[in-house]
Amino acid sequence: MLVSTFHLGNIYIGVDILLVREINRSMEYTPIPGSPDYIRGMLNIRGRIITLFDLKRRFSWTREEVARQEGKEPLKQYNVIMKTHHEVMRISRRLADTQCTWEDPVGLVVDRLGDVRNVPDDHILPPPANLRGISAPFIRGVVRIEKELLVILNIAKIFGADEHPGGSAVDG
Amino acid sequence: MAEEDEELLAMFVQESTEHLENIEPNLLILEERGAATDPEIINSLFRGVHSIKGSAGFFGLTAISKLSHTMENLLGKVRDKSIEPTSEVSDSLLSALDKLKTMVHDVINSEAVDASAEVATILGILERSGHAVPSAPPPPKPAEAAPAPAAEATPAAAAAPAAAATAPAAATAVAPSGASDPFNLENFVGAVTDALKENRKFFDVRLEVTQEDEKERKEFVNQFCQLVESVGSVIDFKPPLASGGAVPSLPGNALRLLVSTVLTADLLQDIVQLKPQAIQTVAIPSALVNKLAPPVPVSKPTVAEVVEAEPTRAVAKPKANTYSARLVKPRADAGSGGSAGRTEDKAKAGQPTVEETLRVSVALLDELINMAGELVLTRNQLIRATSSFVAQSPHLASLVQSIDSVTSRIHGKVMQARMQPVNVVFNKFPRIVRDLALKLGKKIDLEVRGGDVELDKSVIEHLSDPLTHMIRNVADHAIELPKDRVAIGKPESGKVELAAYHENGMVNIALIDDGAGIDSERIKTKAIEKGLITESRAAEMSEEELLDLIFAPGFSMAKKVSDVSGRGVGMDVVRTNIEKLRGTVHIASKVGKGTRIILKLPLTLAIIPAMIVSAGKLRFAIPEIGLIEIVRVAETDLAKQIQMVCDAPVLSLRHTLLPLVDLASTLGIETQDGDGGIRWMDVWLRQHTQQQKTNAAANNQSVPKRTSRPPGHSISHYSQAIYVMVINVSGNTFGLVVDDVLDSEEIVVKPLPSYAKDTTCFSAVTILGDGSVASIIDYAGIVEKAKINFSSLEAASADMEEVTRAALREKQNIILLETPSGLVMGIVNNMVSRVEVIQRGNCRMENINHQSYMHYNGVSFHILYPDQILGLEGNGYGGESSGDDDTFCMVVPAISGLQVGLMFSRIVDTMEAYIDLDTHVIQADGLFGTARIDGRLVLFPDLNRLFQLADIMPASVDAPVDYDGMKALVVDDTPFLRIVTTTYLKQAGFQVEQAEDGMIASQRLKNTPYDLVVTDINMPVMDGLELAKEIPSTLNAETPIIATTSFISSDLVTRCVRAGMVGCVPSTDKFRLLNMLATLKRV
Repeated sequence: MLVSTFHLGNIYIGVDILLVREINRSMEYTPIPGSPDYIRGMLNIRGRIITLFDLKRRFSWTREEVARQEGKEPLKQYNVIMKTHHEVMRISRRLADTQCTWEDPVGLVVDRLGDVRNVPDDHILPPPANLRGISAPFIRGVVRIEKELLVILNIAKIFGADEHPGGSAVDG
Repeated sequence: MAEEDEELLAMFVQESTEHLENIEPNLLILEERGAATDPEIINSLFRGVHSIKGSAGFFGLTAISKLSHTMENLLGKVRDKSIEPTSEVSDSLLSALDKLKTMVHDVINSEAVDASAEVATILGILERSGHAVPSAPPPPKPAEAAPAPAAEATPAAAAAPAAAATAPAAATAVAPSGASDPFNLENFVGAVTDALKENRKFFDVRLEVTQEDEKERKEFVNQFCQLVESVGSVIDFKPPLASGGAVPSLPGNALRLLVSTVLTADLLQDIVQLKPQAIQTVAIPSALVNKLAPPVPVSKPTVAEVVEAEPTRAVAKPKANTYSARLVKPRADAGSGGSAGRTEDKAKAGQPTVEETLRVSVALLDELINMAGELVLTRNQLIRATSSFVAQSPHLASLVQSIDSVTSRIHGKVMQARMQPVNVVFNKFPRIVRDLALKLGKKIDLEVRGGDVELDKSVIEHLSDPLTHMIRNVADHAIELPKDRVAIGKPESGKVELAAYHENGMVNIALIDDGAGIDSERIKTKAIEKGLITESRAAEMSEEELLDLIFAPGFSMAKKVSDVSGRGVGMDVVRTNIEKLRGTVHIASKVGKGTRIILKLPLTLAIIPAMIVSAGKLRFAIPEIGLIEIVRVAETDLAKQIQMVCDAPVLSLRHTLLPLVDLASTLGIETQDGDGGIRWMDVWLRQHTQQQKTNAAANNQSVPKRTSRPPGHSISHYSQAIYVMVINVSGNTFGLVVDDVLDSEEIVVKPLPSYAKDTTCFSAVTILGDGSVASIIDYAGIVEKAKINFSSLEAASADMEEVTRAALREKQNIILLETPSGLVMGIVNNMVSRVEVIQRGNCRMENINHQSYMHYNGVSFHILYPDQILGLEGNGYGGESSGDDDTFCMVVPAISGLQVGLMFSRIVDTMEAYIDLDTHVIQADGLFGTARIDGRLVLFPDLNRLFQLADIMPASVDAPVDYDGMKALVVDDTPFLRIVTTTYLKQAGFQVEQAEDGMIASQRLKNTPYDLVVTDINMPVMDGLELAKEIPSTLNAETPIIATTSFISSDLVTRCVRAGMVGCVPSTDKFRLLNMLATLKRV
């Protein structure tokens, strides 16, 4: 499996590249007042309205943690725009049904971009118990790459199949 | 293959549905006009049913085929006029149609639908009229029956329809191949004329007559003829029949019939159950066509006209060809059905350039619309981005311009593609009304107009339910029973008008009836009964507001619950649905005359006009529908115009209190300029609460405090100017406070991301011109979130009204002066002739007989110290000793013949201010009252009274006419002036009542007699002149009216007199008022 990798604070994360539609520099977004705090806002990309998820808030990092992880440099963040259920469906129905359950265009905010890694499925391990920063349901597995631990995200969970009625639709 | 079948079946359903849609209105016409129905309509009915039958046969849908066959038979009889189209006939056809609809809509299960009752009814009718079908409906012959006769036909027969379809001229030559003696159509000019106008064709039908017995032969031929007559007519026989219909012995047992019918050969064959070879087309010779054919020009709307015009015109050859080519394809015709569709078809027939339509899936259309929307946005950005280069490159400018215009056009056209005529919805109402009328035993004529007005598909889709509900209501409640109508002199049948039309960029749909109307009193009683409103509230409600209550949830006016309507849900749903479409509902009604409900709908939901506003650094779109006005409140006016009622901020807007909702704080937006998320409103509230506490403490002292208005300085430096968007939602009005109004834009509505659905405050999102996203505010959601309680506010509003109204009155120009004792007095400018600031050294004081006089500039003045006369002493009276000032000032009042000066130590200020006069705090003879101005307590003396108290009243006034016991009404919207005038009149002996504006006054004048009316001219709601015109129709027709005004002019005096007033005097001028009164008394 090809994995698109990113840095978030000092952790190394990745998502299945088949689920990624495009990546762009962070740009101006519009907050949605009244939405959960991990929804950063809405973004217009060529007429599509993308809902941006703030991963750090999604992982419930506190302000101190964010400060600790981010360091002092001002961040040039990136938006990772995901494919929608319909788009993934064209590639693989199975993948769409298991990994990409959301209907709306959504995106993740990450701090830095990493390489694309080829990760054989059998190299993916269950997350170690002492992993900090991400709670288990959000993790699909971990892979040791060189000296780093790459956390492969359970994207379906992050976009909240259970918490958001809008994200739960499964198109038969 | 299976897929293809499915596709074909889908096409069948679609096609049949279209036929059914056309059949229904035509059946209603048939029902209404009976025997007088245009034969063309019956033909069209016939063809519609027939097409369904034909296709159903092809798919082996026996049930559909059987039912439609039966209907067709009956329609055939009706067409031949052998069965009178009674209501029984149309009823049976309508119920059969319903069954047919059910079957077609669920075509897969259509076989299981039991239509035997409908079939039996129709057969019953047929039987009674002696036209029972000889043979049973055709056994289904799937696939082989209708569509493929050519394939299995003999070459000779096959040639016929094909040839006819191509060139009629050639067809003549080919037609009756194996026959010895062709029918010559030249002999049947009448029949051919009829055929041409009805799109009929001629067939040569060869019938085997094998019976030996002449009687049997006659019987058999008769039966066959009857069968044929059900779908067409028999024109001639070969060999000809003997008299009395006896059939001669036939060579080769073959009787040939010339048959004229609208059907194609294959369909005819299907009905008469003969071999395909036995039926051959007889083409109409082209010469005959040219001679007889209607001259096909486009604008021949009715068949009748065509026929009358035809014989003289033998031109238009190619057109005639087109026409006859169409003759063999009636099924294509039938598709467009309906009488209107028919005429159109005729027109088209003559026009080679037919306007074609194409079915496009809605999904594709939506995608196109989306992309067109994006194109518009990109265009906007392009224009912005290139604006700086345009000057350098003229070529670029023209490119951008043309992209601009093309984009606009594309967008416009694409949006147009979504538009549908409202007829899509309207078409079903004639049937609904008919059924309801029958069921309820009423007579209702429904007139539908403006069906071609177009609305966006999404609006149309959601219009059906509310409209249906409204129409049911009208039929059920509004229209009276025929006998009741006749009893009150109305025509027996009720008239209901359903009309669509454009107005102000919206589409209005009006539903007007001439029924019983809605009794607002009954609504009132009912609403109180149901606890929807309180009695006191009900008493204040206008007729319109009361009528509006029928849209309140849980309100149903039906005296008894019926299954038509009256379940207590309904009209509220209507309003909710219409408001969801961003539309509004308006109702007007007159008891006994009827009701008018108007729905105002936007043309489209995809693009709406909106205001772009900012709140807490974010931008939002506020739909213009429902937005009544925008009020800018300057920061200096915040304190004056915004008050607290029931702990909620309200804006005094004209005569009402408008609850305010701060957009940013409702949404929980933190302002980003570092004040920790506290917005001015909160600051204001905090300040205000504190202020109230201080006031409470201060109230123990003599400081008066009537209003709960905080002093201006407490908020002004925290705040900025604000904008209040005055918004009406479900009949309630509130003000949405925003920081700024940026723009007015037509925005493209995009669905709200599902992750934002929990926030009820937004209905959708849009992309602004600069490419950023903005949420569209949902009014109802905001109201809910902000928890506005409109009812408690209304109550409070009533309490606060007096105060609010007072605050809104005219400003007065006043001079504030300080007395030597330190009191501040206010005198209205126009009571003052002049104010002189006098150097102490320049004058000489003198006391004569306990009166003070001053000699100044060679003139002597009788001087008065107002505080002394009023008996009010400030911080120690000091006369000359007041301060070290070597000046003082003297006010000379504008009272002629008086050399009086009022002594003050200095002028504090001159200003224009609202005077909110309080007559209770400090009461003294000679004092109008007190008011707080700029935090200071100001006393307003009654100068005239002062001089009376000082015994220096001018003689002219003191010829007192006795007004004791007379009653006067003082009308003035300015409390100060009202009190002034009242005081004057009271002093003259009047018993005085007050009214705040013309409207209130005219109410009182209706019930109470007065001896005098003194009214201000300029007033809100109803001004003095209007009031004067109202008075003659009241109890007080003879009562003299005197006008007061701050700016008197001869023109105004004339107008007053013309309005029936005695005259006009300057307000606050006691003498002229009393003088005018004196002239009256003498009269």
